[in-house]
Amino acid sequence: MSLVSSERAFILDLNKCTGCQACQVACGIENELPPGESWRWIDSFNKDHIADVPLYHLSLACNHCADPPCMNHCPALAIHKDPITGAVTIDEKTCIGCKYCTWACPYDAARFDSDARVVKKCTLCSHRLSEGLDPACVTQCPTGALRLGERGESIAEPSVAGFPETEADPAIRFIPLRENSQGPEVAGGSCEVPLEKSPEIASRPPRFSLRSEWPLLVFTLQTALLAAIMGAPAARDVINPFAFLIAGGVGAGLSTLHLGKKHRAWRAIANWRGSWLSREIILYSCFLLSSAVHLLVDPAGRESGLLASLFGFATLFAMDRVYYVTRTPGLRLHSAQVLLTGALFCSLLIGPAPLFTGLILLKTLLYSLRKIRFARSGRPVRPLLTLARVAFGFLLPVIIIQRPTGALLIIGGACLLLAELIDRAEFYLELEILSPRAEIAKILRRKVL
Amino acid sequence: MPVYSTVCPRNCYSTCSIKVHVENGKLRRIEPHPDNLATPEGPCLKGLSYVERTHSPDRILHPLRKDKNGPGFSRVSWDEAFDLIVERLTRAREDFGPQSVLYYTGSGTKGLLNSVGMEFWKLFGGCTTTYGDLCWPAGLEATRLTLGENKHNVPWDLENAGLIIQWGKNAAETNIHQTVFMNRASEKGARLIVIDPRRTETAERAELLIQPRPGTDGAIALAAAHLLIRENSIDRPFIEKHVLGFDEFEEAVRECTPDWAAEIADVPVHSIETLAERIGNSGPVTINAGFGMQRYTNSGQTMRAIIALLAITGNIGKPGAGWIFADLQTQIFGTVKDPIAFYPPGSSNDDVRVSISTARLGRDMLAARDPELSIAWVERGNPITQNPDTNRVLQAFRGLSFRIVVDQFMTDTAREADLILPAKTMFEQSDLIGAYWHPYIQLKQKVLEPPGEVKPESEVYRELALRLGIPKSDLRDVIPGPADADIEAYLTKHLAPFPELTLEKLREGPVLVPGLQEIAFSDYRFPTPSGKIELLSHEAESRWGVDAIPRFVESRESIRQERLNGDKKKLLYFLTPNTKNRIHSQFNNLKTILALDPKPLLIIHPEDASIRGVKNGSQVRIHNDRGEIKVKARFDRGIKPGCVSMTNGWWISQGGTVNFCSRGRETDMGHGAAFHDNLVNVERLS
Repeated sequence: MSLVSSERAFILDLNKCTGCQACQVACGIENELPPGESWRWIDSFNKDHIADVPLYHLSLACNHCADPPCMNHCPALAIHKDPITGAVTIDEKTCIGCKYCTWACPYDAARFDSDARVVKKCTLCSHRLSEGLDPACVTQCPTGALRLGERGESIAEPSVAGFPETEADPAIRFIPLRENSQGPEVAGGSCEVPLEKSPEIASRPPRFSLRSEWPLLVFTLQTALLAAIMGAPAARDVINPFAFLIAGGVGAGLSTLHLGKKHRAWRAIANWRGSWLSREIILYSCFLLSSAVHLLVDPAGRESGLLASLFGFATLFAMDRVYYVTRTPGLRLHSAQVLLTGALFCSLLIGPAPLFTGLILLKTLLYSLRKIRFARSGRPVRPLLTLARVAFGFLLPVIIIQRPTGALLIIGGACLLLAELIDRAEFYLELEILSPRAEIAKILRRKVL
Repeated sequence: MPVYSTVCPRNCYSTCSIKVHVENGKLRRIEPHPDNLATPEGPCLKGLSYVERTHSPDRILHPLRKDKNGPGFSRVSWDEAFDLIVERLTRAREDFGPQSVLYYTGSGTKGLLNSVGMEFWKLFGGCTTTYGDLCWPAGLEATRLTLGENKHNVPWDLENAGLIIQWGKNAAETNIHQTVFMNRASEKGARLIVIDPRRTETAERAELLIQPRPGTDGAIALAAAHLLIRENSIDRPFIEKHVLGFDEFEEAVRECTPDWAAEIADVPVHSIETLAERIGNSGPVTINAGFGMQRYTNSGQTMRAIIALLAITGNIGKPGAGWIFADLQTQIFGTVKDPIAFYPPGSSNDDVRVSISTARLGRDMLAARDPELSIAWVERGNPITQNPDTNRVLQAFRGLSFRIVVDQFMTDTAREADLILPAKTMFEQSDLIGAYWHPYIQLKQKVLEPPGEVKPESEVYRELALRLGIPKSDLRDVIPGPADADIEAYLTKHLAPFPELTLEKLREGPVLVPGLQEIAFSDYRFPTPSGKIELLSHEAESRWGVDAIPRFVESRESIRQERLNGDKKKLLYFLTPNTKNRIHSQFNNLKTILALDPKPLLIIHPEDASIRGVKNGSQVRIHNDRGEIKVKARFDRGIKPGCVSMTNGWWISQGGTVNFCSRGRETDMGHGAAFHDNLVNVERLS
């Protein structure tokens, strides 16, 4: 019996797993991946040997969740769950390579393949299951630590420290360390251990890098600006329609830059029922379209202008929602939310000083609170950037807004923009995509601090 | 897809039985062979990586000759290669005699057929070769002197143990299949104690990890014996019947108090007390000694002291109990077993001059006279990185006039060659192999044709012999012909004395060795001079010049000694263990392995690092009067302060072998290599 139904799961016995990585190698060979690559990996808990903390290993791949976040959030509907085997698989011919599933997966299982330009992951060795064989990782585990078994096994736990707990109902269970195997009493080692701030844990590289995803930064900020302009009647009356629309078009183009398969970009709207990414794209298209109608066909119409600005702010709302899948704490009220950015610029353009000042205060407060939290938990604060962000985004605009004349307004706007750029860049740098690796680091950081 | 049964022939405890799937002349996958009760769940990551290794684009597939002026090599035909070898060998034999040729073999591939190499050299008129062994002689000899023979309980008996002591063995990395039985014992309530200066993967599931100063395990063992005797936790009837020299031993350990040992070994007294208490009160005790611990200058005596713990508590010859070091019950094809087979012959009348100590390879090669060495033939080995004192070994090899290296890949030793001959892999010629942890005889089956122009060594030797004018009739019985049928006939001939072993049966899978004793020494027959377990060994005294009773002596390179002498340099013990990712210097050139383990690292405790200004990730220089290595440092809070560690087997071309710093020196017994007596300085590089 090797089919995985909804009743079956990977069972990992932490007492038996030595982190030998045979499963990892077996996966690569079975799936004919280039030597050295694999869809399975080991995340080790306490590789640095912190005293009185046991070291154990999590052999991980896709957990073929009952309610897979990757599938639910895939904008292109490229991920499917097999009703018989339970295997969650990515259709390489439909995947647009947007990597959104790599943000949505809390287990680090989906990875972008930079050669194939699509996301790939464990298939549960579906080709072997159909022959009545276990997945290669299970067959090849030299200690019998990894197997397929029943979800309901009495000794197996649904989670273990370092494995994220989510609502996805992953098909994996852990047999925890026995009472007599909780790590050794060490005699003859060192008691005086100098503390180090961030314990290093071996794992896969981070899933997000600003260097490769900078178009998203530009696109989101620009959309906030465009929405703000459309939302301020005075501004939308003076804006050059062509400049506005070209900027919007370039933004759309930029946002497809990070796609693995640009020619399939149109698929991104397929999952409008379930994915905020699809919704964002649809709303953005409506925003551009309605803006075009207003600017080119009906420049005097208040209704068409209002409609366009509504679509603009709806886009910003959707845009912020897109990032919720990462499960980064504090995202629901974040100083770099584009909805706030749009509102801020809009209020600057419309002119009510109390609203503007209020928004600036709110953003600065959120920003400062976050930095304080970071400083307390030992995460990087970047003091110079912080100083610049607060100076440009709070002090200067507040001074300038006292005398809102043309030139000062432009200087104030430029300062604000710079501050927003810093904030948004940090937003991307600090995205914490939930993963076993991040979870392990968090727990161990607490142990040594 | 055809599936074949075969066996991994690496120098490794597990010697896994495997099933090989072949598709279009290539390995498709390697799967477990459940018939081997010791390795039923399948091979480790290295075994799986044969899929890459066998078909690697980096494999040497043709004879290569070193270019005149450069480090590069050019392809030559086999005809050119043979002509060159014949010319060089003939000239050397005429000018200096056959003993000017060094025949050096390592442990790269196990197998019966490998012995044909020496048959060729005998037909050639002789050669010079090595004695001793890099790996395990001190432990083998200590065991032989004490118990009479190297054997132990079958691996799956370990689950019957009440206490398992992994003494210097990191089974999780070097014998992963043993962890299955350790875990089973632990499930049934067995205790696990690990003794190791590193917090190894194996130690993670132990209740106690004792971290002694390297080379002081003997002191801990003697103190534990002192306590067991003092508490009367010993088996007197067993001792009376089966142990020789208990009274002398008791007398010797009287002064070996826990305080004495704790001070020497730098461990808390209570840990030694716990160790003794557990040995006395846990039911059957199995002690499994690793190989690293017996590569010190005092380690034969260390091993004898540890075996004594089992002897005085009656933990020998019973299920779940005993001494696991090496089980040589499958060494059935030769006439002499290890370690005797390692020793130089008493007389030197032979054509084959056995005069080079493997442990002192470089120095002894340079010192060879009448004749001096002029040619080296190296196969199944990578002595440049793996033998002690790399700089000396390099100097010795570079001083020769011609070097022939047989290998699959461009190792550091191959780079030094004048002529490289392409070596077969385990899948390209059949052979018979035994094991040293489990009791199976296995057939390593040919499942692929050798690629390119690769010729198995037996074929190379045969062709060479013919070209040297040796009559075909002389070859008939000693070097098989090239056809598969010739090889099978050769193997069948060697199987003839064992009716239980046939090629047909072996083709299906592993077969237990005839006459296997599942529980070693369960007949209480100890083939020592006295017929008893010898805590008092006159042979130890006469053959090796050590005390007849195991006593603790400091190893030659000792931090304690240095400190007593006023050391200001803060020397560190340089541990050079094996890793799960390699067998010595094999596998590390594969992408599969490099992805997991890309660069050599120096593991250092943050305490030792901070006093040297070393940060996590700093480039450091490891050095002593033998040589230096430059690598990155990595912090580890689990290693004993005063010790640093770097896995052995890295190639110089990958960042440096640990043996730049080791010294060529023999162990106190067995002609082993004491390269773990190795103190170094570590400093940060800017």
